[in-house]
Amino acid sequence: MVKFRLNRGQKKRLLSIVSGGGLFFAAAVLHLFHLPLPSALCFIGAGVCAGIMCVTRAARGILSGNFFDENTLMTIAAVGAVLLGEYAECAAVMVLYQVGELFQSIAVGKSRRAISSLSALCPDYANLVVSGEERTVAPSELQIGDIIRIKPGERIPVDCIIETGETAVDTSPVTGESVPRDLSVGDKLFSGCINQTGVVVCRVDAATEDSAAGRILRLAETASDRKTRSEAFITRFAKVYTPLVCLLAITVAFGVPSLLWALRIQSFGDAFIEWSLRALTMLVISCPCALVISVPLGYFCGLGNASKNGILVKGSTYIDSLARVKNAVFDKTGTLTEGELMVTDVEGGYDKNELLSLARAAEENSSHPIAKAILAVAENKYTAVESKEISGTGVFAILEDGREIKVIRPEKGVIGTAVDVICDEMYLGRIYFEDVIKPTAGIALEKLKKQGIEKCIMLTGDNSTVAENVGAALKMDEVYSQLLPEDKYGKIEELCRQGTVMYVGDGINDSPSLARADVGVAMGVLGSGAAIESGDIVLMSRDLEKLSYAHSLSKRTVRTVKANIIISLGVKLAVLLLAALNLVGMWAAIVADVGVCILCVTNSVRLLK
Amino acid sequence: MIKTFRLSEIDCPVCAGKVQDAIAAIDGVKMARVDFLVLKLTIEADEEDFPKIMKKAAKAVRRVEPDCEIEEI
Repeated sequence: MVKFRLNRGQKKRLLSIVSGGGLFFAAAVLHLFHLPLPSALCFIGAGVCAGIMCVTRAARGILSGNFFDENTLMTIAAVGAVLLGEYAECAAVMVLYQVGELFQSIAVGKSRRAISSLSALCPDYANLVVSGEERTVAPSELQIGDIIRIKPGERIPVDCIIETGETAVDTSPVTGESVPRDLSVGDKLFSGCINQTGVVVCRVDAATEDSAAGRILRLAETASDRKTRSEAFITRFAKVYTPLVCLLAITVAFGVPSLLWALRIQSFGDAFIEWSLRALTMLVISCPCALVISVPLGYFCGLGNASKNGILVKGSTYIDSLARVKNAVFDKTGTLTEGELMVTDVEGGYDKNELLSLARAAEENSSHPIAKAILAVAENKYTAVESKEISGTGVFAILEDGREIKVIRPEKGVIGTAVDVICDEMYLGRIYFEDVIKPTAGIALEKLKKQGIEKCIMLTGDNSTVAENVGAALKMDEVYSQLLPEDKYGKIEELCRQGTVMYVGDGINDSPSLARADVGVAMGVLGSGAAIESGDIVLMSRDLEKLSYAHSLSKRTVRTVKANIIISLGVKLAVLLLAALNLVGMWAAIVADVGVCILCVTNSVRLLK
Repeated sequence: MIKTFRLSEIDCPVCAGKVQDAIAAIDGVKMARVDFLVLKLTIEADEEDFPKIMKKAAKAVRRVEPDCEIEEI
């Protein structure tokens, strides 16, 4: 059971529906017992109960010079119906109109909440520690360098760096990734994530608005600035549609009877009564809201679903472009691969673990990617008393037991990255490294292809052997290697002439490419400000499957919006025609209006799932 | 200077447009934008005019959308 919390306006509407509906029912019963006068009174009562909100708004609208207002149109239709003696029609129009409005209001509110779950990213307090004492302050009061304490279960208020303590952090509110991260002293915490296990004391690293959550929020809020063509179309269409239908209704009400009278077919009075009822039905149909809401609500729900999954789309127009993408271009390092070296093989007769431990001792203080890779896998067995980095060649170190270790780059003839380990001038073995492909890359690319992307292309600054290997492993259609950032840019420009291009990169040195492509997707940028700025779509995690998800979501969204346009326009035009031919009455018109609205709204809300 | 506010209870884009027009018509408002989906109101005006403008804006908004209120963020 879905729970609705009704707001004030919605409660008023509900009250008017219940009272109006009750009277309507009573009137129908009285009508069955052939009591025309009490029945008519009850119908009018129902119309008044249900319509009071509508009528007052209409009056306000007219006072401020707005005649093509929905409320005005409905009021004219209802009053007209009473004047023509169609009491039941009047009541039905008002009651059903309110039902439609209430439903629309609830649905819009529901999808809004899906987006505003984002604003829950920013907590309303932080525990500031000043000279040992803890004080609760608003996160916006924090300044860079302040010390804060974050307890288990609390949301991280601003980006900060752990000073003491360690903890597991749930990053799913920001990244959509469900595996918690273990963090300790020196690691960076991003605002919006939830501290799970330990108490940590941290130093503030960025103000609220520059923190991860603040940046995300800012993006989400400006997302609706960039309108799609369909949104612009429907807004323009509605502006013309309502006055046009009203004009048509006036022609039908006055023009046709005049003509019939002039041709001496019917007296003006008789013709007017018959045709003005059709005109009133047209007025009901001319209400634009179902039409106008169907398109933006669709995109809105698409954006909401995306942000729930750690995908930030900077505007609905990018949903459109993403759905149209023909060629997908990928940066290699950091996008398709992890962007970090890993030990893949150890060669030479020597004991593998021993070799790695010796290398580790030598590399302990180095910040080179190779050192990181070794540190990640080797046991901490030995300590170097002295170590020296010789740039370009490797590391030289003396261990506690006096052994001399050299970890150096092999001379020539090695594919990829490797180092030789030499102990007291004796060659022990060789360690190979590779930037490994992300585990989800293969599946994600396969999915993209299945979803209709024609070509997957890889661009990299790396040498051709490595590039070809990665390209082959991922079944890339085209691979271009040894490119400088400006070459990548040129390549994308060339591809853009052949169709919509999506460029996926980590935003570190490819911002121009991200900006040049029709859709720039920045990957895994929790904390990297530049990429957030330059990407049109930002994936908050490093998981490539988010990309295929975003693509399929964009296709679904565009499909839904198209369906909405066809449903709402189609039904409106059909009913308009039927009304002109006097085949349907006001009832059908209002049911169609409400029905279309409900259909479009439910169709859009499906996108949130 | 530009300030942003929250709006409550606007249910359709057409109504949001009306609210936007009503606020843009107030003296001293250089730019007004209502973002229907996130219910955000952005107003650009001179800082000293803001108190006056906001009073008028509240009235103007109530005229077009009786249940709509402007909240400070």
